[in-house]
Amino acid sequence: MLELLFIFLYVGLLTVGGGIVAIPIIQQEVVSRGLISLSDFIFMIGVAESTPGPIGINVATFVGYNLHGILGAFVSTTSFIIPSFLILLLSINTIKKYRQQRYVKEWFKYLKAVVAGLIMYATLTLMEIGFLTEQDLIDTRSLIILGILIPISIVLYKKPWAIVLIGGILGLLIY
Amino acid sequence: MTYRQLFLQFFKFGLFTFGGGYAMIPMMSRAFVDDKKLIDIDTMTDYIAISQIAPGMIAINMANVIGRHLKGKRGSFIAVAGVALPSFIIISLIAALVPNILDIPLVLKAVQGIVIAVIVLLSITVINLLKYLKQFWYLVIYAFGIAAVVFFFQVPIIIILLSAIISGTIQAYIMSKKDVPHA
Repeated sequence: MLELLFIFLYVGLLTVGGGIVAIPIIQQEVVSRGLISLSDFIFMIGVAESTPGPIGINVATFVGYNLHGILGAFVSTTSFIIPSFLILLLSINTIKKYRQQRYVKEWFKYLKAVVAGLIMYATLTLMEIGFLTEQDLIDTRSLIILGILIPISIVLYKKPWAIVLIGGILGLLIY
Repeated sequence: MTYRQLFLQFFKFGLFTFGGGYAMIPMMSRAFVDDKKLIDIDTMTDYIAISQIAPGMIAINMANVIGRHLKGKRGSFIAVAGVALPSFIIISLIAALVPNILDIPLVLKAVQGIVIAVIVLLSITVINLLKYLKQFWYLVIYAFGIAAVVFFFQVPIIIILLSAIISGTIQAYIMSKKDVPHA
């Protein structure tokens, strides 16, 4: 439980540029350590994207619950929120004052690139699982699902839950 | 606005917004600027910018600054609790109702499809970010570089963040040097 507290304080501290960044960080800190399996984690991201609320909170709560029940969910969620909550609470006037400064603007630009890079990393990891069979060959069934989901997602990109749901149904039908 | 109203308002944002923090920005703006007229549009624009720059989740940061604007530091706490609580309840219920859900073979099949859906969703986020980044070609290369080193060499993410802060500082420093002759 203490491990969970420290992991999520760390994840909360590093989550910059929006909650979605929590996904690659949790992947590195929780999944790579073997605390949660990758397929469990994928299921959690799917649920987090298709339920209401901030995605970061949804994932944090799910991971905590999975490891230590309702108390674990409480610990992971609160310790995930606390670092950035306190930083902003204490430094809002400083941020207001300096946010037009060139340094802050440059950091922000580079952080956007970091966010893009980290989400690409998370996506690459999922692609290994999603598109390759156990013999490291390309799985044609997953390509069929991808071929169906791409046009659907162009229409329904504002409804992530629908994309996840359709993906799940296609998985049931094809596999 | 009472503490109770503040809590309920943010609880509603948490309960009814699909698609994460970015989707909450227009809803909060509409509620506090247009409907309730508690915050003027310039202040709200400022808050949206601050919420994106500050570390942490956008939705939580928005709740933090709006709560503070309306009811001080205690307001911050109440608004953040309000916006996070629905997620906590919903996810805990799902996690409690479906223990060992992945032991069911049918669910495992569905996950094979869900993973493709999640790849598509994450790719949409990446594409949107790259659209913003393409005005700075070096940042596009930097982003791909980050993906590669973390994927292949498991470089800790804290190192990546430090590299961004250092690079940003160096670039701002060089730009400020260049500006001096023109001043």
